[in-house]
Amino acid sequence: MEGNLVDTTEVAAHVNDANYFHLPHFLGGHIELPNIHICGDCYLQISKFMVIELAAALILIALFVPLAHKIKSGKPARGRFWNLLEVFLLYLRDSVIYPSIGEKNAKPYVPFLWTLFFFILLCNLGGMLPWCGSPTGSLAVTAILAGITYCVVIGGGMVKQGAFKYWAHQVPKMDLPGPLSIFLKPMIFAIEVIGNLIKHLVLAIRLLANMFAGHVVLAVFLAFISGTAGVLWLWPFVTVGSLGMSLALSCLELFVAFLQAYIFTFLAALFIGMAQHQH
Amino acid sequence: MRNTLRLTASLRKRLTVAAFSLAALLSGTAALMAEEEAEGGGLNPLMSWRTDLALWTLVVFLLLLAVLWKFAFGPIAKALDAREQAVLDKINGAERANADAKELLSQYQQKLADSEQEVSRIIADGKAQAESIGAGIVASARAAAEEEHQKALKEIAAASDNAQAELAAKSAELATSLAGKILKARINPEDHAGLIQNALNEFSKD
Repeated sequence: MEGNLVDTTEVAAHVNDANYFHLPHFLGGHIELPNIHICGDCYLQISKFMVIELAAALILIALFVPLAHKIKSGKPARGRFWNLLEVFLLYLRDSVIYPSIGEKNAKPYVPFLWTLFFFILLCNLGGMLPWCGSPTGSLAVTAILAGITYCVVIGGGMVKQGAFKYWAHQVPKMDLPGPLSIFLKPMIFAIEVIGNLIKHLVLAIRLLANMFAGHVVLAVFLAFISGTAGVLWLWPFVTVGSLGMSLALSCLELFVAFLQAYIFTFLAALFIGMAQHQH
Repeated sequence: MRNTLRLTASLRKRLTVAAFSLAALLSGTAALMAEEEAEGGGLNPLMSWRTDLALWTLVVFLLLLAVLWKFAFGPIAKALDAREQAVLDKINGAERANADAKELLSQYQQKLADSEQEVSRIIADGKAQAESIGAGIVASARAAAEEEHQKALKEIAAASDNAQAELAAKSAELATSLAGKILKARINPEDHAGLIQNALNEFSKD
């Protein structure tokens, strides 16, 4: 009996991407997402996370384009909601981006880092909505975001220092005797370049692990309810306990959603800042 | 005693629930891990790579970045910078205006002090002038009075001299006429005395 307590496929369905939305009956029940034919044998299977990402992007456009219109004339934004959005933007710019990159160099990166933060935040928060999920709980998403950040970091460094100088500066200046330098410098170069890549890979894994683990734990706690449904005397206690824990963990997840978006943006800003100057 | 028993019973119940919950959690996790191993990473996020999702994310993110950069975050960043610059300019302007106002105030205070000094100087000058004019008037009045006095004295002296001259002339004339009369009449001592008496009477009558 205990072996069937938690249905793994059920838990996996809650945290993994899927080609369908599983809604309650009154909302349409099971909705299969389309497999779009692009050309020849090429098909694009729309997934749940793709829809959530698109929704996140559209929400961001719907939020920030009107804000831009409101403050374009130089007047401050009116209304609590718009001011809240502005507080987010100003906090990120003044307390995260400028200190990490330096105000002078940071200006071209501000829109990118703002976009990164809010896109990750909304993807994280998708997991807090019923029947949705966190696209950031998928390696494909976090790896691409980290990859884009890596390109921005390297591109920014090359634009600032010059393409050759940027790569040359990967090896710190050392007074090495000739033969040793021929042997050591390529090794140091390789270590630095691989180290930089690993830093960005860790960026992807950190976000992925945080979002995935949080939702797995939530799903496991909720799965206990269905797992003990057959045992009448145990079920009520487990249900109450599971719901309580789920509630507490959901609050934690809400915090983690913001925290991880902040950490990703903060580290991206730090990496960009580091690439602006030679070692 | 009964209370203690009840407490113990409730505690035992709670402990039983806690133990069962813990057992359920542990066995659930164990079952989960066992099934995961059997499925070959169904719950391992590192094993569930989706290239289509990755490409989709790339496209969506880059499009979002482009749209937001052009229509939202670009203008917002510019607007925030412009607003900050405007606020800084206003603060600088206000500081400048404040400094100007202070300078103007000190200038006015200086002018006020100067004009107060000027006024008191004018008043003092006026007083001094008035005093000197008054003294002049008094002096000239005194001089005029003295002149009048001297003139009066001179006139009196002249009048007195005239009177005396006239008296002398009259006396001489009278004496002459008296002498004539005396000479005309022979006179005895009594007449002589009577003549003198007449003359004296006439003299006193004149």
